[in-house]
This record gives sequence, C-alpha cells and structure tokens, in this order.
Amino acid sequence: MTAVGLTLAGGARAWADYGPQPGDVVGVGGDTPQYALQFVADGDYNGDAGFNSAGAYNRLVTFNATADGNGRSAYTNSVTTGAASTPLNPTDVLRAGTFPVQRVQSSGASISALLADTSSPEVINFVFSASEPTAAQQTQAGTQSWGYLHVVEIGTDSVKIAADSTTNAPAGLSAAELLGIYTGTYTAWNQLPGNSGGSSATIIPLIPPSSSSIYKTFVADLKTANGNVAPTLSASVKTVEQNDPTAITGASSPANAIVPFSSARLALWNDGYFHNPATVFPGGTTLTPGISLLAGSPPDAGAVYASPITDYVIFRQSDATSTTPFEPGGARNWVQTLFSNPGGSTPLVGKSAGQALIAASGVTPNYVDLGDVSSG
Amino acid sequence: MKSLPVVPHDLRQSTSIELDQRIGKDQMNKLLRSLATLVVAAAASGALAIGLAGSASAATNPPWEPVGNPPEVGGLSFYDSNGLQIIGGSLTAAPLAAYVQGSSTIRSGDTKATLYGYLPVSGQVPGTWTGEGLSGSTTFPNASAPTALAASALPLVTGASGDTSISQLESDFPNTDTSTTDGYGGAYVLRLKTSATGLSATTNYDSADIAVNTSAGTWSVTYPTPTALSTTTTLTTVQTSPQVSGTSVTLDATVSPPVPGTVQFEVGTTDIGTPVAVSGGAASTSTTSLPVGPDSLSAVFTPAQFYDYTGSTGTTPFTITGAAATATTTALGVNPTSAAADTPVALTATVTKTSDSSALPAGAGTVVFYDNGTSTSDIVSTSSTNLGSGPVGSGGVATLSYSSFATGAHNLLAQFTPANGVNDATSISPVVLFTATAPTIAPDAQPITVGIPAGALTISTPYTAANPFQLGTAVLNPAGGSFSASAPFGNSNNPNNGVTITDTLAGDAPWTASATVTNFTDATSDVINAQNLTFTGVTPSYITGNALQSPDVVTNDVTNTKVYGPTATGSDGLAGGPHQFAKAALGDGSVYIYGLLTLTAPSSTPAGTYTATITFTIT
Repeated sequence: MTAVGLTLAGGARAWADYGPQPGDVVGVGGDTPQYALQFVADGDYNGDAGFNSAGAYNRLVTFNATADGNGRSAYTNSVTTGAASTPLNPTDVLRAGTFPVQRVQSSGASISALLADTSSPEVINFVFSASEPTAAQQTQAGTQSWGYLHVVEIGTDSVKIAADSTTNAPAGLSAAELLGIYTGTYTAWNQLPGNSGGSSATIIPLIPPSSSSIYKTFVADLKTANGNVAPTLSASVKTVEQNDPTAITGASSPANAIVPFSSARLALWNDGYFHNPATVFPGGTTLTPGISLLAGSPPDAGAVYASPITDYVIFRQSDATSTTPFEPGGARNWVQTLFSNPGGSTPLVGKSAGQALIAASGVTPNYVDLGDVSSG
Repeated sequence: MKSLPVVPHDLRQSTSIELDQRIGKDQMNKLLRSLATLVVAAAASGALAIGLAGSASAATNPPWEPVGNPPEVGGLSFYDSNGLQIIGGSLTAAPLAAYVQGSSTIRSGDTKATLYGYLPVSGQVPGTWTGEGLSGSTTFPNASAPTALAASALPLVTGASGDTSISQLESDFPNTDTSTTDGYGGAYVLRLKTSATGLSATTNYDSADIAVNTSAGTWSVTYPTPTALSTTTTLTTVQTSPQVSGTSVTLDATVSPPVPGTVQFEVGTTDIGTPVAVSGGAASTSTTSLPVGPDSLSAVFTPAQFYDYTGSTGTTPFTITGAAATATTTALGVNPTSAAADTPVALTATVTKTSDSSALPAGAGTVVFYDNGTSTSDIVSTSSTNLGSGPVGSGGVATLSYSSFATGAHNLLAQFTPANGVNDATSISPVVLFTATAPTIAPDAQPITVGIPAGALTISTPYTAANPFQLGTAVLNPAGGSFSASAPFGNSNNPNNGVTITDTLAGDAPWTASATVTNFTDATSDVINAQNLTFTGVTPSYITGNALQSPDVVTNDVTNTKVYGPTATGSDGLAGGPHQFAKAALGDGSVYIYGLLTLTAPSSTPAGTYTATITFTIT
C-alpha cells in the first residue's frame, strides 16, 4: 500500500490550537465524528451556537483527527527536499503549558490515548470514536480504577463507495464485487460480473488507514463477503487519508479510483462547508468534492454496498460519577453537562440543540447512553 | 487563576462592559488585575464612587441592572404560540416560551438566535456568571411565527419541545442565595445572542431577568419592567333586545387580542353564572334568568396569569319584558233571558283559553257582571252597573244570581280579571240581552220611617264647688325638698268616683277625654303651680250592657317632669291643657275612668288650704 495525499508544510506547531486550561474538557478522536464534536463545542457554520457560545467559565475543547481544517492529511515536504512524502505525524498541545504530542488521528488511536492518559489531572477527558472500545480496553479501564469506559452513541453514519463525479465505475458496487476488486480478482471494470460492457481501464482501489473506522468497517464487510474469512488485500490497494475527496480527485486516474467514504462527510462537503485552502484570509470559494457515492444497482444484481457506522463519545466512568461541578455555581459535572446524566436533565448531545449541531456535520443524530459496552 | 472576581456592586456597573465579553482565562486574569487596580485607585481618590452613583439602577431593579450597552444591548419579550405577550410561566415548561424576542438588533445581518440562562451571583460581575444554552439556534425572521413576530426583523428565538426549562436551569445551576434583600435570591438571567452562517454567536446580547417562585412552580419577568398591553372586550347578544322574560338569551363576548383568561358575565352588578374561559378570543353563556326591565349586560374579562394584558369590560343594553299574557275568552250565559222584574236570574260566565278553548283552572280570577241597560256596547263604562262578581271556579265558571232587574231591557256582560300573579289576559263577553217584563201582579210599595236622635256626649264627676275633691294634707317628703299629697280619683271598687263618660251620639263617632287644672291658691293668694298636679294610673272601668267594652277605651297618664315654683309658666302636668287621658274610636254607652291625682309643692310653700279647679272635657 502506498500513501498518497496533499502535502502541507511540515513543522512543529504548524497551527496553534487553543490551549485548554485546567477545568476545560478536552476531547480527541477519529476523523469520522470529528466535525460533529467540533460543532457541538463551538457551533456549526450555519450559525447554530455551540456549547462554548454560552461564555461559560470552563470550555469544551475538541482536537480534530486531522491537523487540517479541511480534513486533509499532513505529509512531509517533498517539494523542497525531493524525498518522497511520508505522513507528517502532526502534533498538538492538549493542555496549556504542556509539550506538543502526536495528534490523535483515528478512533482506535483515540481510545488508546485515553487509556494511556493516567495523569492527574487528566489531559484527555473523552474521545469521539466511530468504534466501541474492545473488551480488553474495558478491562484495562477497570484496572486503572476508572470503573469502565462509558460509551454514548451520538449518531449514525454509513460507509459507502465514493468515486469521481466522472467515473468508469458502474452505478453501484456490491460487497462481492468490492471483495473481488480489493483482493485483486477484478482489476478492470469490465471484469466485474454483469459489466462486460464496462470500461477496460484499471481500477484504482483506495482505502483509509488501518486504524480508521472506515477501514475497519469496510474490511469487516469484505470479510463477511468472503465467507467470514479475513481477506488479503491486493498490493494495488493504496492507503489514503480517510474521508478526503482529494484521494479520488488527486489520483493518477480519478475516473478509475474508488474508496470507502463516510456519507456524512460527503454531505458536509456538499453542504459547502469546505473552502478553497489556496486563498488567504478571509478565505476562498466553496469547494466541491468532485466525487459522489455509488448508490445505483450493481452489475451483478447484488445489493449496493452501504454499511452503517456509529459515532460515539467515550469517557471514564469515574468522571461520570464525579461530584466536581463542571462550571462554577453549577450542579452537574462535565459528563452530566455534555454527554450522560441518567435521571437528571438532558445532557447537551441529547438535546435538540446539540443534535442540530451533530446533524450539521452530516451525521444522523441518535442519542443512546450505552454505558459499559465493547466490541471486538 | 480559577477564582472568580469579587468586586463591589457599584464597581460592577462600570466594569461589566469589558467583563461580559467572552474572553480567554488569561485575558480574564489580566482584566481582573486591571480591576483590582481600579478598585485601589477608586479607594484612594473616592472619585469613582461618585461617578458610578449616577448609573445606579432604580430601587426596584435587580441590583446588577442596568448592565449597560454593550454588552446588554436590549431587553427580551416573551410570547405564547399565538404571539400573545407573556411575562412568566411554568417552571417545567419547555420551551419556557413559544417565542422570545430581543428588543434590539444585536449584530446586523445575523439570522439565528439562541437563548441562554445564567445564574447571577452576588459579588461577581455579570460577565462571569455561568449558565447554559436553553434553546437551539433558530432562524429569524420566522415566517411560521404569528404575523407580528414573523414581520419583525428583531432577533427571535423559536422555542422547541427539546429546549431546557427554567426548572432544569434551576437544577443545573441552583440558586443558593437565600437572601430576601440582596436581589439575587431566586433570580436568573436570560440572554439572547445571535449568529449567522459563518459567524459565531455574539458576545453582546438582549437580556431579561426573571424571578423563580419554586413553591408556585412559576417564573416571572422582573427586568425590564413589563408593560401591560390593553385589551378590548365586546359584548353582543344572539337575541335582539327586547325579549320576553324567560327567553334564553345568549351572550357572546369577544376579546381582542384573543388573550386567554376568563369572562364574568353580569347583569347590572349581579353575576350570570361563573366565569367562562376564553377560547380563541371568545366566551359565551346563555341565561333565562334576566330580570324584567331595561338591563345593562356586561362581560368582564380577566387575563390569565402571566399574560401581560389589562382586563377590559364590554357592555350592551338589553330589555326584558314581562311574559305575554295568555289570551282568554269569556262567554256569558243568562238564564232565563226573559223574566218578570225582580225575578232571580242566573248569570253564568265561562272563561277559557282562546288558543285551545280549554277552561281556566279554579282560582284563575274573578268575573264581574255588568248591566249596560239598553246599550248594546260590549264594553264596561262608567255607565255600566256592577251587578256583582263571582270567583272563577272549576271548569272556568263563575256565577251570580241577580234578582233586582227593573222592568226593561238589560244588556248584560261579564268581564274576567285574572288573579294576581296569574299570567292570563282579561276578557269581556259579548252582551247578552235579558228582558225584565212587568210583573203580573203589581207590587204595593209602602213608605216606612224611623228617627235617630242626635244623642249626646257627656263627661261628669261627682264633685262640685260645694263638695270638692279632697287631696288631703300634704306631707313633706323625707328629703325635705317638697310637699306631696295624693288621693284616688275613683278606684276599681268605686269607679264612679272618677270620671263618667256617656256617649249616645248617632254614628258611632270616636271621642277624646281631656283635663286641665288652674293654679292652687290659698286665702292669702299664695300659689301652688298647676304644673305640679298629675293624673296617673288612668284606667277604664267598663259597664256591663254597654257597647263600649274592652279594649275600646285607650287611656294614658298625665305626668310632669319636676316640681315647679309658684310663678313658673308652662303646660307640664295637668296645667295649660287640655291634656288627653282617654279616647275611644267607636262605641256608644258609658264608661268610668279613674286614677290617682297627685300634687307636689315646693317646701317653701306657705301653710294653708289651697284650692284649684280641674276641668274635664270630651270632644
């Protein structure tokens, strides 16, 4: 697998986030739910006010998985060095006065980071993830005297196959066809069952990083299609930043590239949230993604591929039972205020106001306080 | 770093402009350091206190108001789903109001508004108060809002069921200030901020302060002071005036604007039933109990709690007439229709309801029978002769037997008059001719005379100048203030020793007996004042066989008030009469009247025998 993507100027503190103060609640997480939590904290682009608009003393701070506001990956500078680009490993400062640390860039990495944060006071208070913690992670949380990792579902998304707006791909692809493409059985469009009249061009199968939720969901679906046997991905499958349209539009042959993609993210793109990054402040024109989701009937007459994905926030149960109020004069701790307050007033992400912010990210809001759950 | 700033109230007034901006904690600390400097400077010079005094709010305002602009650009108004202004509501209501409108544009071009709730804390500047969002960010203008709100460009929050109630705000940010005097107890602050596509929420806001009444479960606006809007109540009746008593009359009240509340309908000052809830600006009631006469009907509207409107009253005149009388028909039967004069004739009147010819019940009234002589007119006039009457009995029949018809034609008729309280109309029968023929044997009329004497009314006593009534020798009373002498003027055993009245006047006329007395004098012209003589215990004694019997005669005592000197003038006692002591309304015959004559004389009265004349009169 070969990484492709845009190149950003590499350098520590390429951009300076707000430095969270003691008392602020800090969240990190994966790419897929990152905008939902960003909007909950600071409001969306439609004028819907987020939690921090109340001007409360302590704030909700989220760090996106991507160092780039447009959701693109950061890579080393190949232009001036002449060397091949490699992932930059961008950093951020999660608390004021602390050193930069590697940015959490995926759901899986975020849960690991949370478990690794045993400092007091906490640096990371919660994570936003498109996957649940594993049973082993829950066990680890117990051994760290947190009780468990408390899971709250905030919404649902779906993984679908994206292709260039002008593509050689058929209107839709089934899981069986995708299994053949990603394992190397089908390398040209006209090899697909029922698509002999299709293009003879070589298919460019792309896939996000293995730690991403999109990857995990997609590969799990391929496994299911493969008789529950883990598939061996073809060497032609290239790793790209997840949910980045430029993975398609920037491919060597966009018309032949496909990638599993978050339908919520594409909705955000289509809603005009992202603007031309090449234009200096106050910003450029609205970007169009240049891609679309394959939603038509596959040539093999199977069901078009679409796999549900759930977005979660995950935090220490010990924080849920804390008696320390989030805000001066308040009665609720930060978990009760934001995510989970059984028997009490509805937390922000369960309110219509919070769900409107989640919806603005393209995610379909669905508030379920799951508690102690795990997967895998 | 985490402690909140504590400053005197008056200083908060001047610093809130800066502190209400949303700033980072580092900036906050810088600002607090500046504030601390300001406090010291103020304490040293004393000038700041004077300057701030001018911005102090009115005594009735919350102590932090007015915060000043910026950040407090304007106030808030609250509306129900119909666009009616409210000034409070239920703590558990979510949303707390269907619409919340800012009074001022906070940032030009903004299109979304969000409502927040904060806990005011004494000793902390308003900009540092903590709170939470109460609503989502809603678009304004809202074309779906009631007309006036939809047409307004002012910022508007449209409430939703998932919003946070004041009760939840209380739970999330408990107000622990128990003071009843510092203005912070039970208080919360609501702020409206605006935003737009690509723009975050403003730091400035429109604001209102509310008071929470936990026991009542309500909240109400305390600042800005709400101004009640006027209402108009119009009252109409479905039935036009006048209506007959007992008719069901429907009263319709229309309240504009259609504020919820109740309407008490009234006739005059009397309530018609209980208050009626207003629905959609309308309330109605019906009644059959309006009193007879011209009435003033009223609809008194009282707004429901928390609706920021004044009450109003609609009135309309209405007249109720008495119930329509039931038409009756009177038929007269004469039997026989021809007979000799002075022969008994049976007159029979039958009274029925005109509508169905059913007979009136017994007791429905009286029938008077008239004789119009030779006139065939079927009306009763001054020329009509009243022959007599009879009550309406069973079958609606009234009868009279009359036997004094003189020879000739007699046009008879019967007039029905309903009994008091019976709602029937009068009616007169057509005339029925009765002819009285000359008797076969002529009667022999012979004169007979009798004389009644005029009679006389006399009053007498058995005493004369030669045989005067003796009062005896006066006795000085134990206190030594006066002499006193008394003697029975007749008594029950010898009532004829008093006054005897004999009435033989014709006509059984009433009479009145009176008395008067002269001064008592002795041989040397010493005087005892006549006012000192009284006649008490006056009692009638009836004589068997006379018409005058108990209680025909009414007596009274003649008394005085003090002992008079010889020269005193006046008509107290029996002096200066006549003084009535007995009367009778009727009754001939004789009656005795007796009593006790008592004379009192001053102790200065010279010794001697004193004589006076008492005169009894009857009229």
